[in-house]
Amino acid sequence: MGFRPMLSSLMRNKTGPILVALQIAVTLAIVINSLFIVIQRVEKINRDSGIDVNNVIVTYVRGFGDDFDVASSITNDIDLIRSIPGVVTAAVSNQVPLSGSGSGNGLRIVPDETVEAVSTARYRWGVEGLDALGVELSRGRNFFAEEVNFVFPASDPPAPASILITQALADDLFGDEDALGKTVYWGSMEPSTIVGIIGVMHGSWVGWDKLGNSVIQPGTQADTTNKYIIRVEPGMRDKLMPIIEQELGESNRRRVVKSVKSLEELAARSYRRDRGMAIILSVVITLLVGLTALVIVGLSSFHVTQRTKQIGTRRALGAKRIDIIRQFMLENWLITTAGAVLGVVLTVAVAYWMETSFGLERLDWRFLPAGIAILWVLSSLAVFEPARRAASVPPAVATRSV
Amino acid sequence: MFNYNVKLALKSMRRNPIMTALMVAAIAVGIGISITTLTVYYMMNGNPIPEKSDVLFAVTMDSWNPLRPFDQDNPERAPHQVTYHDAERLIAIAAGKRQAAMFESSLIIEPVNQDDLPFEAGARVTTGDFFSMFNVPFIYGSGWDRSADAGAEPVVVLSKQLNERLFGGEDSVGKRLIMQNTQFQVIGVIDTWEPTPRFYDPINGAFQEINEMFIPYSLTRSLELISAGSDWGWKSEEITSFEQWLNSESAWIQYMVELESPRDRDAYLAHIDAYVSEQKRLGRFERPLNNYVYDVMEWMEYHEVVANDSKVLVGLSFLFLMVCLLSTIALLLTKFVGKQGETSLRRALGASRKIIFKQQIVEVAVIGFSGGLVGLLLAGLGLQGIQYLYDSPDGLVTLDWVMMLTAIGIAITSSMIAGLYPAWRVCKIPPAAQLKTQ
Amino acid sequence: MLQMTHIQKTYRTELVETHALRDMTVSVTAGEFVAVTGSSGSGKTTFLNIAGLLESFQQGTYLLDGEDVSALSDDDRSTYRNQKIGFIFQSFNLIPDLDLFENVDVPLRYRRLPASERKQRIEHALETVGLASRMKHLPSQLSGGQQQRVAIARALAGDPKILLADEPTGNLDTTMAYQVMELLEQIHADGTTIVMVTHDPDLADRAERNIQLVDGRVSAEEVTHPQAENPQLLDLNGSEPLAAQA
Repeated sequence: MGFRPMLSSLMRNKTGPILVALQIAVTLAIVINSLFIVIQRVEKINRDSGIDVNNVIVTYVRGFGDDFDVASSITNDIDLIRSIPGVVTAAVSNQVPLSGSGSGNGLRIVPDETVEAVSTARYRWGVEGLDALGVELSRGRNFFAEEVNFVFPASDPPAPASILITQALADDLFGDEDALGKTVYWGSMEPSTIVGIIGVMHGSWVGWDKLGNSVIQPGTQADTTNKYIIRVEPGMRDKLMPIIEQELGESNRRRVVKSVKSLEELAARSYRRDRGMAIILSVVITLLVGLTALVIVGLSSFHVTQRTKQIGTRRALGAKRIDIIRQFMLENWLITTAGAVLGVVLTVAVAYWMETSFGLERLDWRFLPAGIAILWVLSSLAVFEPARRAASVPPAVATRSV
Repeated sequence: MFNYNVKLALKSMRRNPIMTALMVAAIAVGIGISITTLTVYYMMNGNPIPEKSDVLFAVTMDSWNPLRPFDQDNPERAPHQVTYHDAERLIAIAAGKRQAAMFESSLIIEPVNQDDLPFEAGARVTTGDFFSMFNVPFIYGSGWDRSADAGAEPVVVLSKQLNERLFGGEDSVGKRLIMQNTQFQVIGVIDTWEPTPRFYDPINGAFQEINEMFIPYSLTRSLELISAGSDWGWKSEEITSFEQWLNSESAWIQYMVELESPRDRDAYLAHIDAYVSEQKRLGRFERPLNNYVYDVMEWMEYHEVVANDSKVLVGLSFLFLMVCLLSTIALLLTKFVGKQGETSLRRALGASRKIIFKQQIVEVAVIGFSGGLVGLLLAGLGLQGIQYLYDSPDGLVTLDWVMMLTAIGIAITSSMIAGLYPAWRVCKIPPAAQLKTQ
Repeated sequence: MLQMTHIQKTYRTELVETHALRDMTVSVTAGEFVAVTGSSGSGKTTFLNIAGLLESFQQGTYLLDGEDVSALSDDDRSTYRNQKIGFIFQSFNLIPDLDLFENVDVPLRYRRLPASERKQRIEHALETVGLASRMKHLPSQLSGGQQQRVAIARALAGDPKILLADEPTGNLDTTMAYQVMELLEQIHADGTTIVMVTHDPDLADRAERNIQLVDGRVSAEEVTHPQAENPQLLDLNGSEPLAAQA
């Protein structure tokens, strides 16, 4: 069955094929753009945070009463937690990475207020901080015990002599130069020296483009609400969470255990919107593809039924079964290709609209051929069964009088 | 005739159940997705307090760093919270009809009996006008007045949920609570109040749950209350005491005002400008005069309360609806082609073109209606899914009557539009043309 | 050319068994114009289907152009139909979406001939039936008679060994029927073997031999126009050869 007669046959009965081609085109546009967003979000969620998220527990506690001694409460709590079997280590921090809550500062490499500061998240913890998060130092050293003192809320400590920063922050501050040992200046123009560089550590706000920028000051933060970061042996986390809550609660009734949460849960909450969007779009894609496939199957089946006499005649005239299958597949291929061509135009248009109206990222062009390939495979699969059915129409149909 | 057409429609739909199911499914899925995304968008974009949204204003004053603007991406904007010092002064000036200076905090409620554990509850620390300004409904008691504000009285208004937890839901007016070493007296309990979006504090989350209790703003100093919300500072200042904190340039107070009418906006702004000019003479507010007040809808827009993702989804879902319509047209065409025999018979028996056309449109409308109903079910499911995924408040994901009618309306209208061309094709069939076999 | 011996065809459904052909023995030599007649239910359509390799049979032997067809695969049957047989159907069976040229082209495409050869054959075939000028028209633009003539052109274009015609004039009025029969006679005169199934005795008369079917078997044979060159006629049912009549 030749290409040209098929084309002219389609053209003479245009409406159905045009509708299907249009549908394929719009489907392609939606699917490719949605798939792009989904993959972007999934990549965003799966970024390496540098933190051992699965094995970290976070506890929020708060003491009350006039005579509440924050420092000894903290010391007792940390000692207690560390004594629980299965706990690797525990640290006190001012804020919790990936939690959505954090403090930020601006750092400069010169003590000049007119120079623009580099934004960064700021953490404060002691010697065990890195270990409690499972974060690795790539260069330099961790804090010494002597450098770590209690920091109380109403106090205004001077800038510490030593700080740790992430590589991302180092790149922002010093570019290609080696940041180790260099000096940076806080908003108060006080200096600190970088004694250690962390390879990768995500800060508090996952939606921030400077998520990789963190600076760590040595100290034990003694706030009204205190945050304990606890790392446990693999597999022990879920068992230990209620144990920690109970033991802490019972050890001091003047100190409320506000919540005990896994860092995994906190991080998931931070990524909730991205995950939600990815899931919603995946559902949309599935439904859309399913609908289009069903329509193709439905319409093709209908055409087979409609053209039974014609198929029988062709068989009588010498068409083999494979010729009939080929005919239907080729017809479907023609329509799909027309749809794909139009679809490419639409996809680019929709991508442009997404970029300009909603500020989304520009579509990665490689998604286009990938999308077309998937579409082509699906379309061929959808038409295969009706085509097979067409091929089994017996040639004797040709001589039937009705 | 309409009933007859409906009966015929149902018969025709039954005759080819797979085709019918496919058409209804196509419309249902399209409606389901569109209505889900549209509801979320509509609720996000809605006016949470329509009766007053044009007389309530958020105040911003540009007390920021003279060297660079507060928002690098939008340099014309001033910080959207004010300093404690400025809030105190504004309260004293009392330029508008009512005013609310407020921030989020949390306090520990100490146990009534020794066996209970103390727990932390979130609080909105605010001036007393809050309740009348924002039309907050009470089930017991009331809020406090300006004299209570002035006297820094330790009173508290509870939310319905907190009242349930502490006092079993009964009338707790007059009862006492110990928080922050102070004995508070309950003076009111509010009913469920979930303005969507949370217009009085979009900064800390436009779709958060409501605050659990309300206490007077004037207690901030005496109880050394700390903000649990956001605070921003540009100046490096030495802060070693709470008092110094209160006097700093850190902006952590939200200030909103109610005016008599929308027209009073400019006059009020003049008051603010006058205040800032006075402060400039004292060496503060080193940036050029840049104060602004935003009414509720402007404030929502300023904080981009409607999530970008929501807009993207609405756009995509209308494209999706288009696909569903194309499917429907294609399916209708094929279905109607199969009806040629019956149609030409009817024409031979006396049905005019108009009658045939009407019958097809009714059939299409019935299919559309069915699709709309199923679509509503799907939308309900979809909204449940959204609530689960995003942990949204109930107000955001409720299908109200307007939405439901809209859904059915869109379903029927769009399927009728889809059905126009196929119906026209069918009624063109000449009488008895298909009665001869070929 | 066509030799069936004791062909039996039964249709079986869950409820009913229909013996369409009980004991069909018939022979057609090359170049003959044979009519097969019978009332409805006599098995003429089944005979045609089997003759045209459109259906299989349960018992008996069928030799087409000297070859035993029972061993043929479905693909082989299709090839034979394409190359050896030309079909003419009662309801023309033209494909409505294709123009006349493309319709005649259909069987040639399955033969994978080069475009130039196909074009030549189609044009020649359409000229033979007198419709070359309307090559680009659609079947719906033609009268019934013209459509049947196109169908004949389609059957001829592949140079078939044998033409099988099923009630070729059944859907035509008298004038058109006359034209079509004239055309068939002319084709026969050019040397093509034709087997024509019909219920019209007048039409049957125009053939050389009339095979009458009753209840799935040949009941009688009538020679209407004897062939001078080939007096050998095989009898059926084992009776004596019939004497040639004037």
